[in-house]
Amino acid sequence: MSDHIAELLNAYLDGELNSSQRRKVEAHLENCPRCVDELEALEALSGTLDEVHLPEFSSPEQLAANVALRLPRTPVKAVNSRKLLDVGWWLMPVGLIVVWFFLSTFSLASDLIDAASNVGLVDEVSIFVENTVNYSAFLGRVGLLDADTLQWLTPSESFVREFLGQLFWQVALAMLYLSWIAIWWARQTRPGQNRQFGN
Amino acid sequence: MTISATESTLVSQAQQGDRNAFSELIRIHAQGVQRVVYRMCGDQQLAEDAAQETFVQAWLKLPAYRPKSSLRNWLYRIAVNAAIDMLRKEKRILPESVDDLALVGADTSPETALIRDERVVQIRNAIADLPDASRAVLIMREYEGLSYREIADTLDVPLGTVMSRLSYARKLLKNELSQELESHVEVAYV
Repeated sequence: MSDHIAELLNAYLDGELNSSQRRKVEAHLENCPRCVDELEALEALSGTLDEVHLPEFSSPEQLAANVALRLPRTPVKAVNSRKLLDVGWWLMPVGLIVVWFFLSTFSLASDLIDAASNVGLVDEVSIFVENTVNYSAFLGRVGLLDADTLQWLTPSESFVREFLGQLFWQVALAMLYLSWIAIWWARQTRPGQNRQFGN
Repeated sequence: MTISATESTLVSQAQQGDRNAFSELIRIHAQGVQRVVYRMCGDQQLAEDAAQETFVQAWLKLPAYRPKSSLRNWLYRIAVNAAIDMLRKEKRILPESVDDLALVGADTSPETALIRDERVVQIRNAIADLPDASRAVLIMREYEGLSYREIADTLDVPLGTVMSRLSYARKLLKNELSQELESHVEVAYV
C-alpha cells in the first residue's frame, strides 16, 4: 500500500476528507479488501490507544500556586523589545533608500566636480582629483607598463573603476531592498510561522 | 477554536503583568496542558514538571502572544516543546513498570488487571518510542481530538506534514503493537 493511500485512509478515519474525496475512498474500499483490513487496523489502533488512562495530576489550583512560585517577580517587558524590532524592521527600507540617495548625490557631485575641473573652473579640486590613486600610472612608474599601454589604460581605468563601483553599490542596495520585500511578502502570506515547534 | 471574550480580557491583563489573571488562565488550561505533557513524556512526575515549565514559559512569552490564534493551541505548542526538553534533560525516562499506572477499576480480577496493566505499559512504551514530531501529531489527534488544520497551526507545520506524520506514527504503532491490536477486541470484553 502506498503512503499516499495510507494518508487518505487516515484522513478518512479522522473525518478530514471532503465529500468528493470521501466518496472516492469509499468506492476504493468496496473493491480493495486490503484497504478495508488497513482501515479496521487503524480503528483498532485508536481503541487500543484509548486504553492508556491518565493518572491523577495536581489540581489546577495547586498547579497555579506552584507556577506562581516560579514566576519572575517583575513582569516581562518583551513588548517593548518587540516594538523596537518592529520599528527597526520598517526603518530598514527607509535606511536603504537614504543610503542610495546619499551615494547617488555623492556620485553626481563627484561627476560635476570632475567636469568642472576639466573645463578649468576649479583648479585646486582638479589637482586633488588627479592625485587620487591610479594603479596603472603607478605600474608605469615602476616600469611594469610601457608608454603605449599607459596611454589607453590610464583613462579606461578610471572609467572602469567608476562604472564598477557604481554598479556594485547599486546592485547591492537593490538586492538588499528586494530581499526585504521578499521577507515581508513571506511573512504576510504565512503569518505566525516563525518557529523545535516554534513559539 | 477562537479565544473567548473573558479569556481575551485575562490575557490582556496578564500581558500587563497581572499575576492573578495569569493564574486564572492556568486554572482554565491546566488539564489540557497536563494531558499533553503526560502523553508526550509517559511519566507522571516529568509531566508535572513539564506542565509547570509550560506555564512559566508561557508567562515569559505572553507579551509576544497575539490573540488571533487560539491560546489553547499556543499553550499546547509550548507544552510539546517543554515535554521534549524535559525528556532530553532526563535522558528519556520511559515507563517500564506497572507500578505507576493509574488504577483501572476495582471490579476486575488481579490477573485481568495485571494483563491490562502490562498492555498499557506496552502501549505507552510504543508511543514514547515514536519520533518527537510524529508523537506530537498523534497526541494532538488521538487524545486531544484536534483537526488536522488545528494541529498544523498548533505545531506550525504544513497540513501535508501533519498527514504524513500521523500516517507514519500510526504505521509504526501498528507494527509495534501488533499483538495488542489482535487482542484488543478480546480484552475489551474480559
